[in-house]
Amino acid sequence: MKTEKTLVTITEEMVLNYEVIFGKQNKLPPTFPMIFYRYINVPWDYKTAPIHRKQTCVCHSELSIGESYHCVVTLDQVKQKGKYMFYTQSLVGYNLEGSECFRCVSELVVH
Amino acid sequence: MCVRISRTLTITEEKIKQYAFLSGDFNQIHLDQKEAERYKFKEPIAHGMLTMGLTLEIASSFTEKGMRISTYEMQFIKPIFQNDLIYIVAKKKKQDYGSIYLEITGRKQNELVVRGELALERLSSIHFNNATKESGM
Repeated sequence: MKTEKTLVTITEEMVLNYEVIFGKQNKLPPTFPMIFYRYINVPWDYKTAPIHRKQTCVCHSELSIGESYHCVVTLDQVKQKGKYMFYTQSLVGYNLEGSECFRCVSELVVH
Repeated sequence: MCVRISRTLTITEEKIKQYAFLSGDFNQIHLDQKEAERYKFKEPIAHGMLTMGLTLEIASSFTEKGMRISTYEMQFIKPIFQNDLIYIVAKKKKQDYGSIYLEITGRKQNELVVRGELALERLSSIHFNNATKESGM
Protein backbone atom coordinates (compact mmCIF):
# COMPACT_ATOMS: atom_id res chain seq x y z
CA MET A 1 0.00 0.00 0.00
CA LYS A 2 1.33 3.46 -0.84
CA THR A 3 0.23 7.08 -0.88
CA GLU A 4 -0.26 9.28 -3.92
CA LYS A 5 2.83 11.25 -4.95
CA THR A 6 2.88 14.58 -3.11
CA LEU A 7 5.08 17.45 -4.25
CA VAL A 8 6.81 19.14 -1.32
CA THR A 9 9.08 22.17 -1.69
CA ILE A 10 11.53 23.11 1.07
CA THR A 11 10.80 26.72 1.98
CA GLU A 12 12.79 29.19 4.02
CA GLU A 13 9.93 29.29 6.53
CA MET A 14 10.10 25.51 6.96
CA VAL A 15 13.83 25.72 7.69
CA LEU A 16 13.42 28.66 10.09
CA ASN A 17 10.72 26.79 12.02
CA TYR A 18 12.99 23.75 12.13
CA GLU A 19 15.87 25.86 13.44
CA VAL A 20 13.71 27.25 16.28
CA ILE A 21 13.75 23.74 17.74
CA PHE A 22 17.03 22.26 16.52
CA GLY A 23 19.24 25.33 16.25
CA LYS A 24 21.05 26.72 13.24
CA GLN A 25 21.66 24.08 10.58
CA ASN A 26 24.81 24.22 8.46
CA LYS A 27 23.28 21.64 6.15
CA LEU A 28 19.81 20.14 6.39
CA PRO A 29 20.05 16.71 8.03
CA PRO A 30 18.59 13.46 6.63
CA THR A 31 15.95 13.59 9.40
CA PHE A 32 14.55 16.85 7.98
CA PRO A 33 12.19 15.21 5.41
CA MET A 34 10.27 13.56 8.26
CA ILE A 35 8.41 16.86 8.69
CA PHE A 36 7.05 16.36 5.15
CA TYR A 37 4.60 13.84 6.63
CA ARG A 38 2.36 16.76 7.56
CA TYR A 39 1.79 17.45 3.84
CA ILE A 40 1.09 13.83 2.89
CA ASN A 41 -2.24 12.10 3.25
CA VAL A 42 -1.43 8.64 4.58
CA PRO A 43 -4.50 6.46 3.91
CA TRP A 44 -3.87 3.71 6.47
CA ASP A 45 -4.64 4.07 10.12
CA TYR A 46 -3.36 2.51 13.33
CA LYS A 47 -5.74 1.03 15.87
CA THR A 48 -4.12 3.06 18.65
CA ALA A 49 -1.22 5.48 19.02
CA PRO A 50 1.92 4.21 17.26
CA ILE A 51 5.19 4.21 19.21
CA HIS A 52 8.45 4.77 17.37
CA ARG A 53 10.91 1.85 17.70
CA LYS A 54 13.51 2.54 15.04
CA GLN A 55 14.26 5.12 12.38
CA THR A 56 16.68 5.19 9.47
CA CYS A 57 17.15 8.30 7.34
CA VAL A 58 19.36 8.31 4.27
CA CYS A 59 20.03 11.34 2.11
CA HIS A 60 21.64 10.76 -1.29
CA SER A 61 22.03 14.43 -2.11
CA GLU A 62 22.05 17.71 -0.24
CA LEU A 63 18.64 19.10 0.76
CA SER A 64 18.21 22.80 0.16
CA ILE A 65 15.67 25.60 0.20
CA GLY A 66 13.72 25.87 -3.04
CA GLU A 67 14.18 22.19 -3.98
CA SER A 68 11.01 20.21 -4.68
CA TYR A 69 10.52 16.51 -4.11
CA HIS A 70 7.85 14.05 -5.17
CA CYS A 71 7.18 12.20 -1.91
CA VAL A 72 5.62 8.76 -1.54
CA VAL A 73 4.95 6.88 1.69
CA THR A 74 4.80 3.10 1.40
CA LEU A 75 3.55 0.67 4.02
CA ASP A 76 6.26 -1.97 3.61
CA GLN A 77 5.27 -4.45 6.27
CA VAL A 78 2.66 -5.15 8.94
CA LYS A 79 3.30 -7.98 11.38
CA GLN A 80 1.35 -9.10 14.39
CA LYS A 81 3.14 -10.61 17.38
CA GLY A 82 0.75 -11.35 20.20
CA LYS A 83 -1.07 -8.18 21.14
CA TYR A 84 1.41 -5.97 19.28
CA MET A 85 1.28 -4.85 15.65
CA PHE A 86 4.58 -3.88 14.02
CA TYR A 87 4.55 -1.48 11.07
CA THR A 88 7.40 -0.61 8.72
CA GLN A 89 6.81 2.37 6.45
CA SER A 90 9.03 4.41 4.15
CA LEU A 91 8.92 8.01 3.08
CA VAL A 92 10.86 8.35 -0.18
CA GLY A 93 11.54 11.62 -1.97
CA TYR A 94 12.42 11.89 -5.68
CA ASN A 95 13.69 14.97 -7.47
CA LEU A 96 11.85 16.28 -10.52
CA GLU A 97 14.04 14.10 -12.77
CA GLY A 98 12.85 11.01 -10.88
CA SER A 99 16.04 10.18 -8.96
CA GLU A 100 15.72 9.13 -5.33
CA CYS A 101 17.05 11.87 -3.03
CA PHE A 102 16.13 10.60 0.42
CA ARG A 103 14.59 7.60 2.16
CA CYS A 104 13.26 7.62 5.72
CA VAL A 105 12.24 4.21 7.05
CA SER A 106 10.18 4.10 10.25
CA GLU A 107 9.47 1.09 12.42
CA LEU A 108 6.45 1.57 14.66
CA VAL A 109 4.66 -0.57 17.20
CA VAL A 110 1.02 -0.37 18.13
CA HIS A 111 -0.23 -1.94 21.38
CA MET B 1 42.75 8.47 16.56
CA CYS B 2 40.01 7.94 19.16
CA VAL B 3 37.24 10.51 18.84
CA ARG B 4 34.69 10.78 21.62
CA ILE B 5 32.24 13.65 21.96
CA SER B 6 29.62 14.02 24.68
CA ARG B 7 26.73 16.37 25.30
CA THR B 8 23.75 16.56 27.61
CA LEU B 9 20.35 17.58 26.41
CA THR B 10 16.99 18.15 27.99
CA ILE B 11 13.83 17.57 26.00
CA THR B 12 11.47 20.17 27.39
CA GLU B 13 7.69 20.23 27.24
CA GLU B 14 8.01 23.34 25.09
CA LYS B 15 10.21 21.53 22.54
CA ILE B 16 7.70 18.66 22.38
CA LYS B 17 4.87 21.11 21.67
CA GLN B 18 6.97 22.95 19.09
CA TYR B 19 7.82 19.67 17.35
CA ALA B 20 4.15 18.66 17.30
CA PHE B 21 3.35 21.88 15.42
CA LEU B 22 6.33 21.52 13.10
CA SER B 23 5.65 17.90 12.17
CA GLY B 24 1.87 17.82 12.52
CA ASP B 25 2.27 14.82 14.88
CA PHE B 26 -0.31 15.60 17.55
CA ASN B 27 -0.42 12.05 18.88
CA GLN B 28 -1.65 12.71 22.42
CA ILE B 29 0.88 10.37 24.07
CA HIS B 30 3.33 13.22 23.44
CA LEU B 31 1.10 15.95 24.79
CA ASP B 32 -1.43 14.71 27.29
CA GLN B 33 -0.74 13.24 30.74
CA LYS B 34 -3.91 11.10 30.87
CA GLU B 35 -3.38 9.73 27.38
CA ALA B 36 0.24 8.88 28.23
CA GLU B 37 -0.93 7.05 31.38
CA ARG B 38 -3.48 5.14 29.30
CA TYR B 39 -0.47 3.71 27.43
CA LYS B 40 1.30 2.88 30.72
CA PHE B 41 3.75 5.79 30.48
CA LYS B 42 4.24 7.84 33.64
CA GLU B 43 4.29 11.07 31.60
CA PRO B 44 3.97 12.24 27.98
CA ILE B 45 6.87 10.89 25.89
CA ALA B 46 9.07 12.82 23.48
CA HIS B 47 8.66 12.26 19.74
CA GLY B 48 11.36 9.89 18.49
CA MET B 49 12.19 12.31 15.69
CA LEU B 50 12.61 15.15 18.18
CA THR B 51 15.18 13.12 20.12
CA MET B 52 16.89 12.08 16.92
CA GLY B 53 17.06 15.65 15.64
CA LEU B 54 18.37 17.08 18.91
CA THR B 55 21.12 14.47 19.20
CA LEU B 56 22.45 15.53 15.78
CA GLU B 57 24.03 18.55 17.42
CA ILE B 58 26.77 16.17 18.51
CA ALA B 59 27.96 16.02 14.90
CA SER B 60 28.16 19.80 14.53
CA SER B 61 31.97 19.85 14.83
CA PHE B 62 32.05 17.76 11.63
CA THR B 63 29.30 19.58 9.72
CA GLU B 64 30.94 22.93 10.51
CA LYS B 65 34.01 21.60 8.68
CA GLY B 66 32.00 20.95 5.52
CA MET B 67 30.94 17.35 6.12
CA ARG B 68 27.38 16.25 5.50
CA ILE B 69 25.32 13.68 7.40
CA SER B 70 24.28 11.15 4.80
CA THR B 71 22.75 8.45 7.01
CA TYR B 72 21.37 8.44 10.50
CA GLU B 73 19.82 5.43 12.17
CA MET B 74 18.41 5.30 15.67
CA GLN B 75 16.78 2.70 17.86
CA PHE B 76 14.44 4.02 20.56
CA ILE B 77 15.04 1.60 23.41
CA LYS B 78 13.26 3.26 26.33
CA PRO B 79 10.80 6.16 26.43
CA ILE B 80 12.14 9.66 27.01
CA PHE B 81 9.84 11.86 29.06
CA GLN B 82 9.59 15.61 29.08
CA ASN B 83 12.41 17.29 31.03
CA ASP B 84 14.51 14.10 31.07
CA LEU B 85 18.23 14.85 31.00
CA ILE B 86 19.92 12.69 28.35
CA TYR B 87 23.66 12.12 28.20
CA ILE B 88 24.69 11.64 24.58
CA VAL B 89 28.01 10.14 23.53
CA ALA B 90 29.37 9.84 19.98
CA LYS B 91 32.35 7.59 19.30
CA LYS B 92 34.13 7.20 16.01
CA LYS B 93 33.49 3.67 14.81
CA LYS B 94 35.45 3.73 11.56
CA GLN B 95 36.76 6.02 8.89
CA ASP B 96 36.88 5.34 5.16
CA TYR B 97 38.03 7.56 2.35
CA GLY B 98 36.02 10.73 2.86
CA SER B 99 33.57 9.18 5.34
CA ILE B 100 33.35 8.97 9.11
CA TYR B 101 31.00 6.65 10.99
CA LEU B 102 29.93 7.50 14.52
CA GLU B 103 28.23 5.32 17.09
CA ILE B 104 25.72 7.29 19.15
CA THR B 105 24.35 6.34 22.56
CA GLY B 106 21.96 8.20 24.83
CA ARG B 107 21.62 7.42 28.53
CA LYS B 108 19.23 8.58 31.17
CA GLN B 109 20.64 8.06 34.66
CA ASN B 110 22.98 5.39 33.25
CA GLU B 111 20.15 3.56 31.50
CA LEU B 112 20.52 3.22 27.73
CA VAL B 113 17.53 4.92 26.06
CA VAL B 114 18.67 5.39 22.46
CA ARG B 115 21.37 3.87 20.28
CA GLY B 116 22.30 4.79 16.76
CA GLU B 117 24.79 5.18 13.96
CA LEU B 118 25.59 8.18 11.88
CA ALA B 119 27.56 8.47 8.65
CA LEU B 120 29.26 11.70 7.62
CA GLU B 121 30.66 12.31 4.17
CA ARG B 122 32.71 15.00 2.59
CA LEU B 123 30.84 16.64 -0.28
CA SER B 124 33.63 15.66 -2.68
CA SER B 125 33.16 11.98 -1.77
CA ILE B 126 29.37 12.25 -2.30
CA HIS B 127 29.96 13.65 -5.76
CA PHE B 128 32.48 10.88 -6.37
CA ASN B 129 30.00 8.22 -5.20
CA ASN B 130 27.20 9.66 -7.35
CA ALA B 131 29.51 9.85 -10.35
CA THR B 132 30.56 6.21 -9.91
CA LYS B 133 26.90 5.15 -9.52
CA GLU B 134 25.91 7.00 -12.69
CA SER B 135 28.83 5.60 -14.64
CA GLY B 136 28.04 2.09 -13.35
CA MET B 137 31.44 1.70 -11.65
